[in-house]
Amino acid sequence: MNFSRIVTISGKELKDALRDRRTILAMVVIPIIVLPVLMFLPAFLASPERNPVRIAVIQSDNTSDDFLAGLASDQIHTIRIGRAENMTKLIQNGDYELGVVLPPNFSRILEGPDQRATITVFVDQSSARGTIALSLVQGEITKYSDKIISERVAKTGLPPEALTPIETDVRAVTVTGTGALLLAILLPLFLGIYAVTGAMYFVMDTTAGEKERKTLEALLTMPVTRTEIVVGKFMIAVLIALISSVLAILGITAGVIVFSGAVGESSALGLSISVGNLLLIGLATLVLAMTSASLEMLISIFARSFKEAQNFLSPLSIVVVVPAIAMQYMSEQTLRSFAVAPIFNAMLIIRDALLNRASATSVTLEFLSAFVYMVIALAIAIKIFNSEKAMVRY
Amino acid sequence: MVGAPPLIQCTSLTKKFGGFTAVDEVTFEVGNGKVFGLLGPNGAGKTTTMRLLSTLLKPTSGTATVAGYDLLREPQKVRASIGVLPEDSGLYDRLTPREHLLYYGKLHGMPEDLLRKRSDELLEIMELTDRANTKVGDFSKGMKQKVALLRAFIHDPPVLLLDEPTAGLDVMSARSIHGFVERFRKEGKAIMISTHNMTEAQRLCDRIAIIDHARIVAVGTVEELQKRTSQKDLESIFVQLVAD
Repeated sequence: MNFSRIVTISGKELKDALRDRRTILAMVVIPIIVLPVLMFLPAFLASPERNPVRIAVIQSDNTSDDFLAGLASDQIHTIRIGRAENMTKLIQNGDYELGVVLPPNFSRILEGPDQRATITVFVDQSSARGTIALSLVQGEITKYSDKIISERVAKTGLPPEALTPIETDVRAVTVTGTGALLLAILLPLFLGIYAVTGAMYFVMDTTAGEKERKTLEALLTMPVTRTEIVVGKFMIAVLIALISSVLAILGITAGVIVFSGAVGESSALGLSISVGNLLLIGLATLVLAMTSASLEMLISIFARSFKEAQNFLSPLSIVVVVPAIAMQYMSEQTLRSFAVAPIFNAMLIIRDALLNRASATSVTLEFLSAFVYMVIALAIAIKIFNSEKAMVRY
Repeated sequence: MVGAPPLIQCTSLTKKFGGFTAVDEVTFEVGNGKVFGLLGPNGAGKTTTMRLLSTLLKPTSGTATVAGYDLLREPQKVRASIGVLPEDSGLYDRLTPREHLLYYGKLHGMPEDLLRKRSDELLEIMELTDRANTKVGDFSKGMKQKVALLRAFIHDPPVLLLDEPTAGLDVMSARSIHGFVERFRKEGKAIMISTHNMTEAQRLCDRIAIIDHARIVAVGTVEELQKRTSQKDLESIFVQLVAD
């Protein structure tokens, strides 16, 4: 292997890739903008702090004025409507997120020691805003109900403790804030997706695309070895996957900060990562980029045409989601037994680093296994490229 | 260079793809300063012969030496000694002519200053200097072919393999490519051209091999072929030989 020829090939590949709008789109625009926006925008828009829920209220008489005054808040806008209005229709039309019908003699019913008033709520639970409105309203109803209970109990002369004989004392043992937990879920997922999708277009273009456009034939008549060609192209594929992943980290982090703000967590991330852990995340990102780039090279060198490569490679971006999702539902023991599985290994390092749980043994094992997979994938890719089939299959 | 071994020497070169024989026992040689034409219908085995000589394919049997290097034993050295114009120009749309020449020149291990000087010279010869920094994606077929030809010449190789160099080109582009070939013949290169253009073959080639169904059916100068077939023009010679 001649390093200067590899550098020449890499240099040309990089120049060519940077002039290709589709590569730039996959490498820069999508990671930094599209997915974080898609993820966080709905939550941001649904947030009642930013955008209070609109609730239509039908009062049978003014005995429910007191309850209604308590219901209205910064997050809940109550609007009184006429008794003749069709509540179902109003909700269906989207005029209001929720409708409340308050019964007649509301306060008088509650004054008694043993009577119950029924509040009817109209809501479309298939809409996110409807669900948010329902939980907000139910919260207010429970609060008001608790107040009535206290009043009723007080009249009997019993102390408030009589109603809650057992109290639950929950103590959080997580050392990290909610931001870190959110990142521990999102980061492996996103980094996996971007490691795969960031360089996918480039890899298809530089292997199957070159074959299809017949530029490969001229390249193969140069005094370079096919190993040098594969390695030169692979290095740029890794670089592109890496850039795309790093931009994704920035995009997601920005998204989490905005999102945490949107749901009212002023403490934002509650995140403190040591330099060592940050380095681990960086290395794991590199490993993910190398794993996916080598796998993509292998698959698309085999493909006859760009289209065929596309058909082979597209499922990868869905496959990579599986370990990221599965990780959330696996027990710690089961997860450890997957430590040497491809993709799982790098994702585990990222998660453990974020949650400050990484141990030297597991990290070494995870890195080693990832490296072995990469070398195997690349070796097979080079073997295919070295065989006449690389040329004849078109 | 009297007595110098021929730059291209093919001995019983054969290539089979499964049960299909694409090139069958092909034997010929090309000396320096000579243009050798491979004339034949589509699918006769011209491109496969070119690909064997450029080491893209490995022969099933037989062998060849190019510039004294054996195809099978020294493919890297063979590739360093040849300039190839493939059937498709195979240029990168997003690179300029100059970038192409610099890229391939570097792969040939040319020193930077020599490479820049030679690129400028070649671009000048092909009258591409004013378009040297335009991406080739915007070029016409004729201009692309000129760039591809320059790419084949960049490292000043002793052997040139040109597969259908003027196919689909207008008269002016074809003329300038012919002029280019003449120029390098005078420099003593061995040039092999595959074509099905009779006029081109008659005009450029010192010797012609007629290839049909993977086999060479006749080889010689135009005069020799005329004598053998008692036909005057190359087209009639060709038709008669292929029909036999």
